[in-house]
Amino acid sequence: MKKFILRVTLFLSPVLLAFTATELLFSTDKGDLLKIGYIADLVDYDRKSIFQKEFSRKKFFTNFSELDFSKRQKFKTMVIGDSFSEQGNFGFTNYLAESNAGPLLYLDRNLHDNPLQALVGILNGDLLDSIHIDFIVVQSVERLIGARTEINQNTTITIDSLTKLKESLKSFVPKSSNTVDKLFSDRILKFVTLNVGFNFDDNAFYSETYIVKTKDRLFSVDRNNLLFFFDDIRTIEENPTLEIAENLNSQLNAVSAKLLEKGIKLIVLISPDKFRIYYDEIIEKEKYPKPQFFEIFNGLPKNYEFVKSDVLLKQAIKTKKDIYFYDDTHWSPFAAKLIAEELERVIEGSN
Amino acid sequence: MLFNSLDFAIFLPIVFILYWFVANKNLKLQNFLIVAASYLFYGWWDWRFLSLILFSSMVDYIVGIGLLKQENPTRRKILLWISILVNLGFLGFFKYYNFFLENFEHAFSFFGKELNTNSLTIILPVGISFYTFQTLSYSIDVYRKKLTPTKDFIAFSAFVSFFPQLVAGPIERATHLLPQFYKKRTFAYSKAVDGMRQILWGLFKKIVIADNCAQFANLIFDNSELYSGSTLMLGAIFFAFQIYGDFSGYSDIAIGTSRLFGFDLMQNFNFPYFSRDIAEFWRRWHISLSTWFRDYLYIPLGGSKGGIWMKIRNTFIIFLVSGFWHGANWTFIAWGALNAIYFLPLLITNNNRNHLGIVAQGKALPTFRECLMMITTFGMTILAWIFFRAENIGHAASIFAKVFSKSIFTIPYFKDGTLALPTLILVTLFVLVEWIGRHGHYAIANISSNWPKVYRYGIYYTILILIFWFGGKEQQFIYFQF
Repeated sequence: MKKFILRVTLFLSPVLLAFTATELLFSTDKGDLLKIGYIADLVDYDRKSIFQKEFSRKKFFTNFSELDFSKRQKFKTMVIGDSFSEQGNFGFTNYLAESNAGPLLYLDRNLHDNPLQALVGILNGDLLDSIHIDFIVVQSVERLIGARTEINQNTTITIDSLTKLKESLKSFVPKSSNTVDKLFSDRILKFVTLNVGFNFDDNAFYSETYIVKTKDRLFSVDRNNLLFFFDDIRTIEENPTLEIAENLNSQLNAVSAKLLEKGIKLIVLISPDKFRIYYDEIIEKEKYPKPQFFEIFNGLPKNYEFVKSDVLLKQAIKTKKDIYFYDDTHWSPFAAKLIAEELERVIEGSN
Repeated sequence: MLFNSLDFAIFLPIVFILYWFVANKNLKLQNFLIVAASYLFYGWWDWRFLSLILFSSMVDYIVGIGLLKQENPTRRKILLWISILVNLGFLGFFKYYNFFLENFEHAFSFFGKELNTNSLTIILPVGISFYTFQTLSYSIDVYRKKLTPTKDFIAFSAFVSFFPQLVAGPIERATHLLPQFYKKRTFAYSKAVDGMRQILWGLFKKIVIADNCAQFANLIFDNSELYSGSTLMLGAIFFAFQIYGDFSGYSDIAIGTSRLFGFDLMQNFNFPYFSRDIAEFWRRWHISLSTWFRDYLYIPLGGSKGGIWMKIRNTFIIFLVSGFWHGANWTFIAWGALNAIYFLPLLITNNNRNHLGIVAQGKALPTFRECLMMITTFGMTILAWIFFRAENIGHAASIFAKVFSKSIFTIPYFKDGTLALPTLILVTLFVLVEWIGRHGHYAIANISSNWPKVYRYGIYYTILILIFWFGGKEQQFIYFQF
C-alpha cells in the first residue's frame, strides 16, 4: 500500500508541482497578454492604483441597448467600434461623451462583430432616420483591419434587428476561461513550457504573446519589457498592406459620401497595434517586420475626417508611461483621453 | 463531478486514503464509506436527486426482503411489479413525460383536434437510466431466485450507488457486484496499479480522442446544411470516435477506479470497431446494456426459440427499446431500428455467432477479407450514428440525402479544416494502439507489463502529456444525458 502511494505520488509529482505553480502564478483576471501567453504574473503591475482616478469615472454616454424608441432621440456623436471603444467608463468613448462632442450614443459591441460592416448595415437601415446624429466615429484596431474590409454592401441593420439581437443576447452567457477545468486543461502544461521557453525565445517558440526588451522603462514596472500580441506582427507579414489600405480607404470614402447626404460626418479612428507604437523602443527591432499600414494609409486621399492616432500616441510615449497597459493589448485610459481630446478637436473643427 | 475534473482529482485520493487507512477496520465501515462517498459524488451534481436514489434503493431493498419471505407466486409477482413500476415509473417520468406529451399532441392535431396540455420543465437526474436498470436486475434476479436478497441495507445501498459506475455504467448485475460488498476488501498492489493504468487510458480516450473529435463533429453536424456528403461522412467518423472515446473512456475510468478499491466491474467495451459484422459489434459495444436487454427482455420474450417471426419481433423490440433507452427522441428509435435491420439477416441465416474470438488473434495484421469486413461494419455503424447524433429525423434525413448523393465523391472540406489534421493523426495512432492491444481488457493493459521500467514510464508520461496538452475542450460526457 505504502509502495503504491509512494510510486503514484512520485509519478504525479511533476503534475502536482506544475498545477501548484500555475495556481499561484497564472492569473485570468489581469491583462489579456498574460492570459493568452500563459505568462507568470511575477511583475507587480497594479493597474488599479495607477489608473485609480480613471477607473472611478462616471458614465456619460448612452448605450444603444438603453435607448427608448418611443421618443425621437438626438445625439451629437455616435461611436461604433471594437474593444478599444468598449472600455467602459475609462475609454475614449466616455471621455468624448463628457466633452463638447456629447451627447454620445455607443453601439454596444456585442450587437456586431465588425464595426465597418455595422456602419454599412446601419447606413442601409432605418436607425439614422429615427435618431438624429451629427458625427459617426467608426473605430477598429489596426491588426483586424484586413479582415474587416471584407464588407457586404447589402447588409441592412435596422432598429428592429438590433433590438431582437439585444433581447436574444440577454440570456446568452459567454464562455470564460474560468469555466475550463483547472487541472484537466492545457493550462498547466503550457504555463510551464512557455515560462521556461521565454528564457530562450521572445515568444517561447509558440506563445501568442511576445516579450521583448526595450531601451527604456515604458510602463510602471521594474523592468524594460514590452509585451505584445503575435497578431501584431503576423498581420504585417501576411497581409498586403497597400491593397488593404486602398480598399479600406475607397470603402470609407463611399460610406462618407452617403453619410454626408444624410447630413452626418464620418470620423475614422484606427487604434494602432501596441507593437507599432512601441516599435522604435525595441532593442532588437530588426528581428521584426516594420509596421507600414499607417505610413501608407495616412497619405491616401480622404473625404472623411481621420484621426492620426499613431502620430499622437508615438509622441505621447516619449513623455508618459503606460500609454498602453503593460500586460494587455489595449491602450490605457491615458491614451483614451488623448484620443478623445483629438476627436473633440476634429469635431469642433468640423462644426 | 466529472471524472476529468479537479474536484474528482481531490475527491478520489481522500476517499482512497479513508477507505484503506480508516475504514479498513471492518467491512461495515468500508461499505458505509462507499455509500457516503457515493452520495457525496452524486449530490455534487444536484443534491435534490439524492432522495430519488435513496427511495429507489429502499423500495428495491424492501422488495428483496419481501421476496425472501414470500413464497406465494402471485404475491411474489406483485412485489416484482412494484419494483418494476417504481423504477420504470421514475425513469418514464423524468425522461419521457414531455416526449409522450408532445407526440400525443401531434397525433391529435393530425386528426384536427387541438389539445391544451402543459409540458413540464423536468431536469433529468444524472445516471437514472443506469442505476434504475441496475436495481431492476437485483429485483428480477431475486424474483428468479438466482440471488439471495440481502438484509444488509448498507451493502445494498453501496451496490446501487457505487460512485465509479453510478452515472454512466457499466450497468452491473447484482449477482456480480453485490457479493463483492459482502467481503472485506484487501489491498492488492497489482490490481491497484492496473486500475491506475486503466484510468490513465480512459482519460486519454475521453480528453484527447473524444473531446477533440467532438469539436469537429459538432461543427459539421451543427452546420450540416453547408457541407457536402463527404464532409458529413467525415463528421460522422469524428462522431464515431467521439462517442467511443467518451463512453468507453468513462467505462475505463470507472473500472480502473473500482479496482483501486478492490472491486471488479464487468468489461463494457471490447474493441467494437474491430468487429467483422454487426452481431459481433453488438457483443462488443456497451456490453452491460446489451446483455441486460438480452437477459431481462429478449429471453423472457422467447429469444430465438420461436419461429422466424418471433425472432424478428423480439429482435426489433430489443433494438427499438435499446434505442429509446438512450433518449426521448425519434432519432434514437430510428438508430435502434436501423441496427435491427442490420442484425436481422445474420440472425435469420444463423450467422450471428460467426465471430466469437478476437480478429486476427495472435497475428499482427488482419487478412484482406477481415479488413474488408471491419471496414464494412464500421461504415454501417457510422451511418447509424448519423441518426444518433442528428437533432431530429428531418435533420438526419437531410444528412442522408447528401451522403447518398454525388457530393459523397468530393473531397471533404470545412473552414479551418486543416486544424482537424492533428486530431486525425491522433485518431489514427489511437486505432493502431487499440489494434495492438486488442487482446487485453483495454488497449494498454498488456503493452507495457513486460517492458523495462524506463519504457513503461515513458509511455505513461507520453499519455499524460497528451492528456494535458489536449485538455480544456470542455465537452460533457455524452452518456450523462441518458
